Amino acid sequence: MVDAFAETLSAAQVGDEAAIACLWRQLQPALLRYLRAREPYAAEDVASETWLRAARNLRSFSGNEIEFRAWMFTLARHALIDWQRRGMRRPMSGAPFDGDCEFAAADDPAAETFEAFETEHVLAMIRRLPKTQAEVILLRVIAGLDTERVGEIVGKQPATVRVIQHRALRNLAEMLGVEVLSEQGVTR
Amino acid sequence: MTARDAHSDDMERLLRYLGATDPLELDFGTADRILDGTMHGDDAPRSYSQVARALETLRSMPTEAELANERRAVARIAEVIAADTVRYNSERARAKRRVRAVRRRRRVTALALAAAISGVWLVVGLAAANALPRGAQTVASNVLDALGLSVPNPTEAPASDVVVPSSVEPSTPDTPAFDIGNAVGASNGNVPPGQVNGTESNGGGNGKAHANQDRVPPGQVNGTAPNKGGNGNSASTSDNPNSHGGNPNAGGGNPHAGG
Repeated sequence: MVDAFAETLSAAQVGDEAAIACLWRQLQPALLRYLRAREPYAAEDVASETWLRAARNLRSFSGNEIEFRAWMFTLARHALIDWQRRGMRRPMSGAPFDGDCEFAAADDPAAETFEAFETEHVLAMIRRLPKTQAEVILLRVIAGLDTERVGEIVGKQPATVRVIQHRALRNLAEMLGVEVLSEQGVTR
Repeated sequence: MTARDAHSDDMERLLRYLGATDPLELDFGTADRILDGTMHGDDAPRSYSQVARALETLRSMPTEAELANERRAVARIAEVIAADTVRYNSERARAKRRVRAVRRRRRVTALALAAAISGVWLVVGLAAANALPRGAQTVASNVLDALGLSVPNPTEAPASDVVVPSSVEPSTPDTPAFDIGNAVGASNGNVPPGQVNGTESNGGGNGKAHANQDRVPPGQVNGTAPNKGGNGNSASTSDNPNSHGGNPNAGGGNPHAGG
């Protein structure tokens, strides 16, 4: 039995636009969030570059959905590294995500605006983490990859990834001002 | 115990408590679950509930802005895939053509090689059978001689294994019969007269005459010679065990016996 993803992938590999659109809708938001957390002013451009690279190599890809996600985020990471290496600062097609009405949904604009604002706030917080910690958190949360695949992407052992993500969570907790002792009225 | 001591004890306990318990303590399993999204903010440890909620927002539904350029992006991707498909197909066709050409070349080479080998063997076979035209046979003989193969060469004198005596003394009545017989036997060269005489049951003279019938040119062997002492030799040879020992006299026969 061939699963839905395999059918979609096969169709996309021969250039079927509906299948490509399906893949794009599934991955583009996550890619943008990942890239915005790393390089807010280049996220759109790097995401486009990522999709072009994927299109050029889509024929040679084989794997399941998780592997496809890992592959796409690997491409995004490489595209981002290339972009950072070139030091290009091209004008973006849009300003960094700022919670403007540009992305407001029709049914509940206020809620979506707030959500987007929240998302951008969290991304900004993650940007303040050390680079490796930020990358691990983004790949684990946004890309939805496990520690093994994240380790493959960032070039570290899964155990190391777990240590890094643990430290990252701790740092995030500190950033969010979660102070148990202060809530309990105890100050150090 | 004074009030000061009590205060000091409380402080020590507090400091011990602070040192022993980390408010941000988190085990690896819980960290995994927070990051996987399987642990919601309400279920997370208190210190991490806000972190879990913040991370949940990263998994929220995509906004319209994030999907804004879908049509254009998809068209571009499809265009690249189509171009890649054309390039891939042409490269594949080129590779197939290349493989076919290589196979054809290999086949032709193999056939040519097989034909050459067959030709060489044919020439060698014909040369060995001395069936080639004279010139070709000469060349083949020279070439194969150089390779250590001996084939007939028409330019060389034919080797004769029959040595014809330059002269055979005509028999005279005084000449013992066995001399003629021995002379013929000697003319054959290969076989000592005594041994031939001793072979099988044939008598010396007759035996030689038979053995030499094919090789000795007619006329050179006196047809009467074997009869001169042959029969007598025959008897004496068969009776005389020395005849096997190669005694020419025994083999030659006693003329008197024949007389």
